[in-house]
Amino acid sequence: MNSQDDEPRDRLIAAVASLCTERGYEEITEKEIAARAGVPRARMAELFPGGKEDCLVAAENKILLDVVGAVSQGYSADRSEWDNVIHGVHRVLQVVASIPDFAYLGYVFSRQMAPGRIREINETGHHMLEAMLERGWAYSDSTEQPGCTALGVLGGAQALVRRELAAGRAEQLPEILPECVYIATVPFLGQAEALRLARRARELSLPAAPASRGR
Amino acid sequence: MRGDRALPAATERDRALRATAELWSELGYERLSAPSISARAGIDAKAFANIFAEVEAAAEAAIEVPLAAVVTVVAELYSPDRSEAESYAMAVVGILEWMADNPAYTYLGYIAGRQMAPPRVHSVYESGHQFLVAMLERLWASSTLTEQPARAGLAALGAAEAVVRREIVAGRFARLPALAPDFVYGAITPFLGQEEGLRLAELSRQLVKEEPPR
Repeated sequence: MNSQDDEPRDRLIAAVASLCTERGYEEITEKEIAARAGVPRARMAELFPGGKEDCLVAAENKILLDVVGAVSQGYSADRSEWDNVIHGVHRVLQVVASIPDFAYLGYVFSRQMAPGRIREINETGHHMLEAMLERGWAYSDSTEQPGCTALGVLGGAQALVRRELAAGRAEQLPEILPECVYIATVPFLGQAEALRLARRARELSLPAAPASRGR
Repeated sequence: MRGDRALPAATERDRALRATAELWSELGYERLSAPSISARAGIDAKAFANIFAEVEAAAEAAIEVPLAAVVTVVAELYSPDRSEAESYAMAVVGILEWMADNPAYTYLGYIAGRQMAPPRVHSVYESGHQFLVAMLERLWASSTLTEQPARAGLAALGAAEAVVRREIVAGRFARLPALAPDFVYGAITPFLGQEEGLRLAELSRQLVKEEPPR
């Protein structure tokens, strides 16, 4: 797809994300999405033959890919595993802060009454992140490894993110990094080590977030 | 852990509430209507109007049902002879059993009730959530940690809820009690550490094991 095609596509998926955030999926129409994006309806039909659900699927894919990409960008072979975790979580919080409408879509809307295809994408992303988190057991001294720990860790961190998004404080998300690091590591490493890593997250000189886009 | 759960015959109000929970979960809040709730509940429209002035009032009362159940279970299982964390671990088993027995209210509480409901209805849910977070935060009183990370209660509740949420979305309600150990580990460990989290997870596992097969 060339750049001429990308621009209206991007505007359409941004429009569906913002409209969904404002009013919910059921209430919005294709006409409104096209109008918000400033794209003719005929062009929207070409880009998204399946209508608003196709458009929403593209928006859900964007937040999933951005989050997975952020985790990858936070990785460096020159750092320890746990410093990589801290940088990865920080990068995710920055990305989510920069696209609040998409973040709301991925962290709040998709977990509720979204169409089945949207939930499947969300669930796929969840499984990918869980698999990455399960690596935490390799560094654990725990004699037992309760099931569903990675799922719980992800749920805990997401609860912190959702609270900030619901309160309209998306730009402040990078500030909850220490709390996210604590909840993400304590089930694997125990309290003392999780607290040490949370302190390290607070002390690290991490790059500032990019300017917020969207809402 | 289940006791005698024989219930009196459902009143018209009970039936209307259950019908509200079912239809809200199946169709979404926007499509709730007095006629559809009345029809599902098997009561006439006039009777519904006498019980609830409007659909929003029925929705508000329906979302209070799972919250009231949680508070009741926690209160019933509290004992000064146990640590607070032990009481919580036992309560988790009781709550998950209630959820398995009441799928419509469970789905409402975890999924459907969190969508775009009116502020009055949403505030009921939010109050219940804050109550549970406050309960968990009390566990810091038993912690030896020198520093207490902020918002641990919110995160611990999110961790525990994530464990059961997947089963609820998939409609596997009967499996919820078996997840009690994972739920307890996720909720307790941030406050009391791995060792105590594992001990209480085992306690909850024993309670679930005591269950007669259903």
